[in-house]
Amino acid sequence: MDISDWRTQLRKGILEYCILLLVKKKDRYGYELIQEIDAYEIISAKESTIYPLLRRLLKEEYLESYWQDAVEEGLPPRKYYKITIKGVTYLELMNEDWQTLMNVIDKLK
Amino acid sequence: MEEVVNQYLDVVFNNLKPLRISEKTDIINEIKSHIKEKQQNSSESIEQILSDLGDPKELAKSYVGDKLLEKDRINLNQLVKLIGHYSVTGLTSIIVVPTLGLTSIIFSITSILLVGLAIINIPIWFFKLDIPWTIVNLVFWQPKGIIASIIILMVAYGLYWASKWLWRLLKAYIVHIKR
Repeated sequence: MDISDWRTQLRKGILEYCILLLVKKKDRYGYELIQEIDAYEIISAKESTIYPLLRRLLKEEYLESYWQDAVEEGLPPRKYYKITIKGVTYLELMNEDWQTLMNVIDKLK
Repeated sequence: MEEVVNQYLDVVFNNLKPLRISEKTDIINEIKSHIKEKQQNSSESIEQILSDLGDPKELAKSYVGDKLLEKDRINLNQLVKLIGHYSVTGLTSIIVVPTLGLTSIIFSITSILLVGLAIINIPIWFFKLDIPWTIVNLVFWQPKGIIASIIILMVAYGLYWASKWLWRLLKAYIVHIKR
């Protein structure tokens, strides 16, 4: 029995959703996002997945970014991501879909 | 910064070819920032951090891959990059790639020329000029004037659509044979 294939498939769409949820709460930089996501094994993904995904979300204008110096000594400038109005609308649609999906699954169970 | 990091970032940079220089620098800066951040916050060695990021070429590809496929416009430069990116080789490719590519490009040029002809045809017909530039000959019927222009435009649209479709087919082929 190999559940990892199904998990890979599942993660693909959900990761984007999780990133938008996290960035909506507050502006975050890449490393911080990866840490947050890494805390949950079910959604954890490699850097080489998350950074290009962030870039795509920027291109599609769901997120915007800005560089800021770190407050702590010796740390490099950070690239922060911020959700846009378009991103919020997109996220609301995702929330609706997610709710519908949960309801459907509940009914099917 | 350590030599290994610079080497790693150089490989990433050199494999981000189709992107604009500003985008490349931005990507490199973000990876650099990530590496430093992780060095400060975790006990991982620099080698471990780099190996988490994965092969630098692969990392660059994950940025570039989508970029090359996202555009639908016919662009020879893009095609060359796409072929390079997916390192397309083999005998079938030598036939399939140029055939699909050229057909698509010729269809697209023809469709543009036809739109030009359809436009030119209207004053020629209107002022009853006797210039035989646009003769639509469907054997059983030789439409003139506006009707001829409409038919030309329909053919142009068909060719335009076919060229887009061939182009997509070509991109799908290149990606498919690589996998």
